[in-house]
Amino acid sequence: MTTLTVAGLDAGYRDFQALFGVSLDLAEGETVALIGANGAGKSTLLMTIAGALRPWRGRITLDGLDIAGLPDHHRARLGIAIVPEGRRLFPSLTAEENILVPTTGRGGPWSLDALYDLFPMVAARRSHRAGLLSGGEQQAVAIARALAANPRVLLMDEVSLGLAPAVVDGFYRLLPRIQQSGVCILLVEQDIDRALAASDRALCLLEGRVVMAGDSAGLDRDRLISAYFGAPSAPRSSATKTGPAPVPPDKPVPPGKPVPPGKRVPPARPVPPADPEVPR
Amino acid sequence: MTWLNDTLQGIFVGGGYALTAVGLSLMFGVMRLVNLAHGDLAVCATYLVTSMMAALGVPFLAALLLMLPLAFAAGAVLQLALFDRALRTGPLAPLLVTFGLSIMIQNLLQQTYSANVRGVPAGSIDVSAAHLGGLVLPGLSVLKLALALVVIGGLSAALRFTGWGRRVRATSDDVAIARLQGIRVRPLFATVTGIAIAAAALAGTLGAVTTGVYPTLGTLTLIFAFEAVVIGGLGSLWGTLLGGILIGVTQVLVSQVSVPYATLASQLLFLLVLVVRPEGLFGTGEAAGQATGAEA
Ligand SMILES: Nc1ncnc2c1ncn2[C@@H]1O[C@H](COP(=O)(O)OP(=O)(O)O)[C@@H](O)[C@H]1O
Ligand SMILES: [Mg+2]
Repeated sequence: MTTLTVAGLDAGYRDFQALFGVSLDLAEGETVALIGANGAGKSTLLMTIAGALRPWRGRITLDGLDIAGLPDHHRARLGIAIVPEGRRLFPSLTAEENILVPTTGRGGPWSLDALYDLFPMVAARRSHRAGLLSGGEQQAVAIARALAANPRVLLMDEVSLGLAPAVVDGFYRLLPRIQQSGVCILLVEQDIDRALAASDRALCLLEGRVVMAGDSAGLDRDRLISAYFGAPSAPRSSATKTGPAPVPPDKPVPPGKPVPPGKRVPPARPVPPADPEVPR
Repeated sequence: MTWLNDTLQGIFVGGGYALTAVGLSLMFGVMRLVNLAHGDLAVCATYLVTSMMAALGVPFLAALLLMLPLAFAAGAVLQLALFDRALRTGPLAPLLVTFGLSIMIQNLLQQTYSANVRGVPAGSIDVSAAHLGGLVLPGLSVLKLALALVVIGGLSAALRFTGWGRRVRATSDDVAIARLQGIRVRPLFATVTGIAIAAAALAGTLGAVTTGVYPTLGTLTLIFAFEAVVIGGLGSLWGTLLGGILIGVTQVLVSQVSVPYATLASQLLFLLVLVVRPEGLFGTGEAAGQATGAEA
């Protein structure tokens, strides 16, 4: 039974469209990796599912209920939680207060004690202001805050961003414990190898469109990297249960990146699957 | 000894300013909304109390207690119907909306009650002063200071220790992320504004017992409250108490030398603080730009 279904989703900012007919689904307890270059629309997709952005078109259903028209606080109560890109803790609150903020009225396995058991480093810093914690500690608090809502669906946006590889390893070692709690996860991760290792299935997003999808174990890594960059030789994904026929990635061009007609230029910055060590 | 007594009287006066200002401080701290109709709403409440006393024949204290929930409700409704909308439009709209509201209220009050000063008979709690050595303890002023301490202390504790307070602080930090945690921001802001207006209504009505009430009184009320907030530091409730007390003490001390210069002196204090410590005495500068996390 699918828990979350996204079908034919268009979304964006004012008059800029960032997502084009995106479809995906998450089965009960499943982890799906969302891969794509900077600016591909990964964060936009997560924020649209969470409700911070209004979808322009398309359906989002949670356990069969259409939630596309519901406000974000209502979706949180229905069981959608997000670890936002850049963590976005409440800086003036302590670590523990951050974790106590979610007011979803949802019961489940993730009590404060269970979360401190998962993240002992947060327990040790519980009464420190979140704004003064280290990046790794902040990320742990952000994950704990999302779990504290006892969600059905956990959206994780670039947990590795700006963190030392050893710290990131620590988070990915904890991921199975989170998965075992029954939540399904949509995982955005720049490091392709990490993403595939941690997930059941993977989707590749290119300039707002799903250009490849498949089982993480069976995905051809080279084809995935081509899809990631939108190289001309990028093979079209074989049809999967996740959605529409892939669209050739030749239409949308983010502003400020003019592309001569008919010619594809790889996105400027990202070089996957490097470990991003971006100071923030 | 007289200067000691004068300082004490200044502290009492300042307690009244602080009680008015605490709502202004709270609304700015939580929503970054400067409510230019703050004083006028307090004046509305005062007229309401006098009208209720006349119409229902109830004593001052009963009318005051009846008025407080109405003031809370009025604040909540204003937030839901007007301020929320204005806040979504950008930083300028709330100023224009509350300024317009201020003018509307003053004109309506003028139409309804005329421009004359009206006394507020406080009846049973019209208070005589106690004497303690050379010190005078005017009952009403002591009450206002005590209420300021209770309201500010209570609010600070609620913000610090309750779930409501945690949600308010989280929302103040980052509205968008707060909503994603399941927080319903509109009702939350409505309670904040309700509390702010109720506190101003309480302070305004008690203050009017001494000064009487007239339709444009709210402007003066707003100025002193605003100065108390800025001197104390934007968004700091205890700072607002200190700011109010500093203004009160300055006014009373200067008025011993020259009464006309008393108000001017408090404005000069305000300007001095703006020059020397623009973030205010208790301000951290965080209100202007949120502190962001340090990095490992
Ligand atoms: N707040 C915003 N306003 C306008 N455009 C935005 C905004 N955020 C992102 N975009 C644009 O939307 C596209 C997708 O961005 P995003 O979802 O952040 O990509 P990703 O998370 O995959 O790096 C990009 O072209 C980006 O420039
Ligand atoms: Mg992103």
